[in-house]
Amino acid sequence: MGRLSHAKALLGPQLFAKVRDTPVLIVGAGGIGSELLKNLVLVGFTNIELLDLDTIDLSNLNRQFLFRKPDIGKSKSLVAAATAHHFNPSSGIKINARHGNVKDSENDIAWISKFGFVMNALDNADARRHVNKLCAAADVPLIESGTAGYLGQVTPIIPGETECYDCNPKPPPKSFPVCTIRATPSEPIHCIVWAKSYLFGKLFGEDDEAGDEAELDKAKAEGENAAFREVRRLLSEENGPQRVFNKVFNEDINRLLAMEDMWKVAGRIKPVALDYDAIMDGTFVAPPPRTSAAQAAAAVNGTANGNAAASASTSTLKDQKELTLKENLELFIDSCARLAARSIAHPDVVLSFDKDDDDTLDFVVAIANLRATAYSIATRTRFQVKGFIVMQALSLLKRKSAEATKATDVYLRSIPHLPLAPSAPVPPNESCAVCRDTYIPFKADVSRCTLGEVLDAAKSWLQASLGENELECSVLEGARVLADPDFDDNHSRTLKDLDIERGKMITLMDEDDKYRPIHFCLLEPEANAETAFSFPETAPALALKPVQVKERSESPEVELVEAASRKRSEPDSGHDDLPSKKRKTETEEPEVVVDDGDDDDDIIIIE
Amino acid sequence: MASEQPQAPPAAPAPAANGQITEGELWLSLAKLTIDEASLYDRQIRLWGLEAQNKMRSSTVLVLSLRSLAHETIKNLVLAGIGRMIIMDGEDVTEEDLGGGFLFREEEGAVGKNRTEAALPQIASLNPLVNLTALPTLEPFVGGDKEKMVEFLEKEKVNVVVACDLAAAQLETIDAAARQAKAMFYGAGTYGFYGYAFADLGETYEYVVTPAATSVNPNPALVQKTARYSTLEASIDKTNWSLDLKQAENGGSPFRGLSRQDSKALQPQLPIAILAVWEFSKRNRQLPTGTEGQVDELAKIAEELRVKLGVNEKVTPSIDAAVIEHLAAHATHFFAPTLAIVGGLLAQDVLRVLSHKDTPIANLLVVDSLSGAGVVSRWAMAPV
Repeated sequence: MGRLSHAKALLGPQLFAKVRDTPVLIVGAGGIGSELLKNLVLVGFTNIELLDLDTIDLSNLNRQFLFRKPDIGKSKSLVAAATAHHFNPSSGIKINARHGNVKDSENDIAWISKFGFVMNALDNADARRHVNKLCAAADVPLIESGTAGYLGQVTPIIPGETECYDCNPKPPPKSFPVCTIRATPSEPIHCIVWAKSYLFGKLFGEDDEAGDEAELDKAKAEGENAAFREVRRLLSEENGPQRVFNKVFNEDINRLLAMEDMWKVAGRIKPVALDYDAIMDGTFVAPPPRTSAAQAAAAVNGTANGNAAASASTSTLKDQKELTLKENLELFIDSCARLAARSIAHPDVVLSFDKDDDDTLDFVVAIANLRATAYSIATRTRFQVKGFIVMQALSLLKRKSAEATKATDVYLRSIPHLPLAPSAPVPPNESCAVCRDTYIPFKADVSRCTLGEVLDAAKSWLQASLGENELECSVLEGARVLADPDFDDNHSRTLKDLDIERGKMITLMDEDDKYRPIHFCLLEPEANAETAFSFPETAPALALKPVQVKERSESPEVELVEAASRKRSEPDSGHDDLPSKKRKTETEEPEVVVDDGDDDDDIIIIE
Repeated sequence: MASEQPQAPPAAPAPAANGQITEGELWLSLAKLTIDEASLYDRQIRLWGLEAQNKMRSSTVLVLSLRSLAHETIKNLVLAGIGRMIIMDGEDVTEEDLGGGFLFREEEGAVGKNRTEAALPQIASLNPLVNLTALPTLEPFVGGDKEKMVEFLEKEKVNVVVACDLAAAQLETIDAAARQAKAMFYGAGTYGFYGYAFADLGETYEYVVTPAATSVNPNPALVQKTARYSTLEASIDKTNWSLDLKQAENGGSPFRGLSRQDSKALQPQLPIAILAVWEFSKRNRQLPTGTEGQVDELAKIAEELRVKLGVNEKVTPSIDAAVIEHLAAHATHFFAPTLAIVGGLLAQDVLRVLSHKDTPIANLLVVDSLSGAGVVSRWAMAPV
């Protein structure tokens, strides 16, 4: 009787043989990934690929049980694979661990087609959507999972049978208008976003002088960047941090105060410029914090809530301690000097915010609190700031059935008498802009073919599927418009020249709105290929767009407007990364988005 | 006999703590988390609060039998940072045990060693802050000497007993002893793809719950609650099953008089099937192993229970034959993912009751891991 005798008896010979033969992929080696890997290894899966770009951090160790203290700083996937191998060392199990990003170009649809199924154990929506799209394009089943606090869920996504990750539009990431962040914050989160996403980047991030976005508002951006470049230069000098403070909390605030119209809006509270010397000698009088509705309600409830009591200012823990204004200023000066020293010592290493990097966290906490003080907003402890920025991540229960034959969604819930609940999977949304599109594997030597050649060949190859119809289309790569019926300037350029390479997709969008978008997924050319590119042997049946019930207007002008507004409001607009030409001309206030990709879960706690 | 783990700091009032320091002082020092711990436990403190972490930090949990289910539960409790854990098992590791017991390492020669001895190094490496005691025996928890069990639990100041993969009759005695020693009790196990966890948290168990936030009250105050638990013996006593669920506190059937909709949600056939296995093992002094006639015997027991409990005939006209066949053939088999699910839910509940926060299992959780169902029925407990 061997170690797998129980699994063999329970699964039966056929299913057990499948377990031994099926190559599977786990994307993510964090909390869920660790548990999943353990269970797959114990059940007897022999061919497992594990991919993660992250390294191990102290705060992972309370639940990511494949890691130990000496592993801190090492690759999650490599250590997880090495530890999990001990759970079943004698059954010929192979774990191909890779330290890398699932979005890298080598992880294309040819790669993902190798797997019998894929399991997502990810911590952010962006990567989830990417894998979802790869699986939809390659027709590979995907098991999606996620946890939030005590809760969790597992959803099988079977192409053509069940709804995919993008079939339901997700609530947009919490975002804030730029002017709120830059000039008129009213909540602690605004100050934190400013500290983390704006000032930190300006001082220590990549110099975005050459960035495309500068084009949008060139004059304005140049003036501002020049000012910050000056400040950046100052950082290396003796009183650098103090001079940064004076620019940001004194000069800039005074400049804003001079714009009197800005402060005439009802409910807006004028900021107060901070004075370095007055804060240091204790003579500075901070404005009293305003009270928001939520804060008022919390005050009525007192500290009955356990968390509120636990984070009281009497705590001796560093993270829990509430700082005075002077302490915040000193923390800013200190952390700013530490970061400046790092960026001088390693000018080639771009600093980025990391909640587990004390220098960057201190900097963001101090800046956010100083700004909150200037704007009469209640300050936050280090602990609370972590909660704001990162997502809560803990689940004792990261578990997965290794069984993918029976498709049910399973929810782990907080309902005491029904803690686990299965539910029937939902069929795909016919309007889904990800899983209902047509995907075509396309092998090409990108330096040997032009866009025009490819498009001509593609159209004639597709003709078998189009029949009598002709395809008039615009051509995109991601958000870039490469060509349309009236625009062929790029036709003579090679794909390489257009920066179209392995892992990317050339998308044909039907101008007549009859066919769903057709994506040509770029793959490596075959060795010794005679032609520069090749299509699959047979052209596929092209997916049609659902028939629009809406009546079309006679006037082409009105139709354009309608088409644009439809794209904005319906689930069909899942192609929001594929803007039409019309949309390109729209000017919108850019938004600052709170990055939800830097921790282990998907929710942003806003207290 | 006892192998104490030397490098762990004293985290609970171990029996040997008889030096200068008073117990009060010791508890005081325990109540404070170090900065290192706060950093390690950062994510979970955010989830359940510092006070709960401190309560966990000063608790002792006794785990009986390391055959299979215990591994997942031990892992989760130790990672979460309980104060002290005692593990007990008198048997040696077999090759089959390796299929579920991931704390046993084949390369380190686990096979043939006592189970607690084999698992100890792995448990210690999960979290060196937890104080561990390994005893290579189930004495006094085998046999029926309740008084000896009580004496052990009191001497070791056990807060929670977690008994895994033990026979139903044995669980009843251990539960009775835990009651007397004022320790909370969990009896849990898996039978193939099915699993259960029974909780007896004592005559009166007090806890707090946080009501859901609303727009009117975004930050609601905690609410104090009390639950009266029933012993395992009383919970499966058939004497008053002719009474309906309004009389459940007096041993009435938890399913008699249940609406059609509630019956559907609670899936009475799952707990009934588990109770049938228990009854089978009491009659035969062993679990079914798939031999001839056992399916019929188990089906017959289940059907008798179904009728006696007065379940909704329209929802559950019979106990699904596939469930009975699976249990008859596979009650002695374990499956790693099922162990992970049941062991995870069990550990989560132990952590809840150590911190007296949130609604715990009351009182029988049954999991069907294949369909992804987990239902809790209230046996000899007042309806909610």
